[in-house]
Amino acid sequence: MNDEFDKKNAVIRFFHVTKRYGSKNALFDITLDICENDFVFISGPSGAGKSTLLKLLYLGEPVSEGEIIVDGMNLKRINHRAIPLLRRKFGIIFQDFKLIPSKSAYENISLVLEAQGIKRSLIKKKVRSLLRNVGIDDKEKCYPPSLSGGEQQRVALARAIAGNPKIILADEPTGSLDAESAAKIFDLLKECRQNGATVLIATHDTELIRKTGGKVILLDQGRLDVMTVIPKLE
Amino acid sequence: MRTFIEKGFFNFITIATISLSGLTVGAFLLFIVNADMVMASWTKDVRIMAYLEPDIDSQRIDQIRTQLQALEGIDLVVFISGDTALEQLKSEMKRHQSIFDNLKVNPLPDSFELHPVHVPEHFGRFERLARFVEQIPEVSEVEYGEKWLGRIANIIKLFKITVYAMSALFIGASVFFVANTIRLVLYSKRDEVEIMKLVGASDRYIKTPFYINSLLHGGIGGGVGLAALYILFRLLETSVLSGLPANLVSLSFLPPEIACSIFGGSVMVGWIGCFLSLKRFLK
Repeated sequence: MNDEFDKKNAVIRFFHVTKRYGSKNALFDITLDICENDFVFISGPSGAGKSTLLKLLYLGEPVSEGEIIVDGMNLKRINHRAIPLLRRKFGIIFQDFKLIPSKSAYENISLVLEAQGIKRSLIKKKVRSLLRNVGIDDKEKCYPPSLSGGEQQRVALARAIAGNPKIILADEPTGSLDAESAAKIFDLLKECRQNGATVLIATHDTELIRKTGGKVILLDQGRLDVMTVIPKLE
Repeated sequence: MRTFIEKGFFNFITIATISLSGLTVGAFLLFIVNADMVMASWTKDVRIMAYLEPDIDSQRIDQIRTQLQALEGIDLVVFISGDTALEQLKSEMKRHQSIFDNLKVNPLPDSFELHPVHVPEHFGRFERLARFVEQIPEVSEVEYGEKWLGRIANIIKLFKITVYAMSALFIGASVFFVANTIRLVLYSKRDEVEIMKLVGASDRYIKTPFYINSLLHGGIGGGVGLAALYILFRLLETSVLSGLPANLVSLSFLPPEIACSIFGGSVMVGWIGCFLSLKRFLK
């Protein structure tokens, strides 16, 4: 174990977490801490359990055994009504984007803010500024099916950061993107970290990890294989 | 609001169902209201006639009058002597004077005309009063020509029970139908709902548009049902009743409180339907 992971200000804590689908272990006995403002890669081959680990954090799936604590909330004891509050701590970029096809780019992003009860006038300002930041301010009225993969990914990123989340979860955020779009998305994710967010990225793209550098949690067949820090490739 | 327009077919079906059930329940209630009114007007003039045995002295007649006036539910007691009755008959049958010319003895008995207090829908009391009057030894016969009113009242009462049961059935069917329609809409939007939940939307945030939608469905459905009922009522009034004498039957539309209840009930049907399907879907 690397000392870099043993900080006291952990925002995410896993205690002997196991996730089973039927009799198959998707994750087995995972114990780890992720600290505030960390930029962490969760890596490993396909089927290693990267996406499952992220899903457990926002209660996309329930834990089979063990405990997870997110920003002081024990997910095992969380009340049904508190789940939206837990999810608002996260900004999630899904592998398949999960944009609502019947809503425009603007509406997909504003949804998060509306759900938090923010005033319409403020939402308008904030969404426009987000669209500008991710470089698709001209696509405000476009619907997801008419956007390219890179553009959809940017809308997803803008939606993820709209509510100023404490933690950003990105599941293969560059999986379907060309190198230029992928680099742009990574730059934006780093910017989020600079603004104080903790960023967790599930990816199997080791090349990208080497280029970017950062803390890495390596999973193999559901088990925690390595936790290390990879320096940025100069 | 966009959801409301997008799901045109579902909206149409839901509104049509609520309208139809509002129209049906409204039509039943309209019938009851009017039947009650007609019955009330008919029972207003009900009289009980008590015919006396011949040759009763005036002192006893006074006693009987006092006895009858003391009865509960009697507004007025009028004594009609045989002679007065014959005079009245003669004046009513002026064209048949020859019948009376041959009369050597007045065949009409002395009688009491009892005017009961007007209490609509309380027909059983006529029979009770008649039975009581019959027990007076000097009373030979008691008659109240509106005996058939009681029978009609019983039929109406039976009809009312049927109407209430059928209304409950219609409302239940509407709720079931609305709930299922909303469930279909929810299934068609389940990805959207799932995404909303994942980005931290509360159940309340997700539910609110569906409730607004359903309340609108209920309101529009109720309004359309009442409007259709009013149009049908006017058509019936002008076409069917135009040939009948005006004072025989007069119809009136639902009183505002019942119309408001139907409207409110329709809104509730939408709300309950939405509540049931959302409860199941978001579980």
